[in-house]
Amino acid sequence: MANRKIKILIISIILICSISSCNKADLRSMFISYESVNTRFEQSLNKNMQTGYQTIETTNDEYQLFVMSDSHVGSTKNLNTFMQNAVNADATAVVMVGDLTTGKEDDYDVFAENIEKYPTMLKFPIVGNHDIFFNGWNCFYKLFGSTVYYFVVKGTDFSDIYFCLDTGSGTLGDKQLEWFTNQLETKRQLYRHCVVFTHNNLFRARHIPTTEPMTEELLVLLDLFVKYNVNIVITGHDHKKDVSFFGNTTHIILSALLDKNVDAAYLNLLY
Amino acid sequence: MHFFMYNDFSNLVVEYDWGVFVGLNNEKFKLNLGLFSKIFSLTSYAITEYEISDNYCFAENFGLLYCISYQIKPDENIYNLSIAITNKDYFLLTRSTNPMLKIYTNYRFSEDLMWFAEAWLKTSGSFNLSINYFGFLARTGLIWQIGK
Repeated sequence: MANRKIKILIISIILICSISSCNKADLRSMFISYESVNTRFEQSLNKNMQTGYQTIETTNDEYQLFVMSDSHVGSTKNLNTFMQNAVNADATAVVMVGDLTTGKEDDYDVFAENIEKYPTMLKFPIVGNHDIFFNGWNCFYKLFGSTVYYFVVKGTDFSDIYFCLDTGSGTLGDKQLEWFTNQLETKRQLYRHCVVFTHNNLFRARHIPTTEPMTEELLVLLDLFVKYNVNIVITGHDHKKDVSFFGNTTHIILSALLDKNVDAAYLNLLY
Repeated sequence: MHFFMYNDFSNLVVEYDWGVFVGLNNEKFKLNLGLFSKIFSLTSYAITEYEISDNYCFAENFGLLYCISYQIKPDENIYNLSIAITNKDYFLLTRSTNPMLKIYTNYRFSEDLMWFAEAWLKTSGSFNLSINYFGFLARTGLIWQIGK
């Protein structure tokens, strides 16, 4: 009888945790997500049809992109340092590779307020898994719009393409993968360099309890990266910097920018 | 086996998995644990075709393999039904943080002939607290143990 009561208690605790949200982690999303990656993709593409895809023109022979990930706002000290450094360096744009916030609306408001202090800096944000906690996708979409898109940097005699992909749910999903494949097929040959940004790191560089895309999907992506000569894949999620090489593609995992990370860092991509 | 061997999904990238797996079983519960290495490798065609001079493979070592299952009857029973959480299928080993849910049933016609059916649910992002449906797999067949 006592064993039965203990079992019921344990199951009850698990159920309560699974359908409620504790302060930092949205445990509900371990079992039921708020929306699917296909839903976010369709909304993103609808937004892209309204706004178009951005082409940044430059007269310089070289340009810089400042890239960060995992700011997990909350606190904003490193975020502001990153943005100010990008402005001081006259960066062409900043790319924010997911886990920008905790997913909560208040933190989205803080994030938006802080990056709006730099109105002249072009910003390209992408969702991470944390950004879609607590129904956070609605906040991201309202503030920033699309999370699946590409942008181009065009100089006098070069043109580079940058893809921003959503792996906030640990997968591209079939629709986004089909779109990405089609973009590579039709556009890659028109550009000098091709870089992919997405939140979830693809290679498992170390043993941690968070996860990467399924192997079947990774193999498809690696095949695409080889076939279409994707030069760099930049991800976050792992919180620890790593640089790996597979074929002609460099895979970079960014260190987390969040304030309490002693190894907080960002990437200055110079082309 | 022949279908898988001669129907590569890609002529550019291959995956090799190898590992060891041991089990502790009783009448109802089975716990199988192991370690494996997953190696992503370029084919010789990819290396030549795309003029790749280095970085032909990437290895993920010491991944955890597991299968935790519960079945309603002992193995030798004429029928059985089980449920399992695992990252191991016949030819697929997923990362340890990508578990799959499997429901399995079988019926023994005789000592050496058995029908089985299984259904798999694959999800992505569960351990990232951002779950998404990934795939569903159903498999059925007959197992004939020759010489038994």
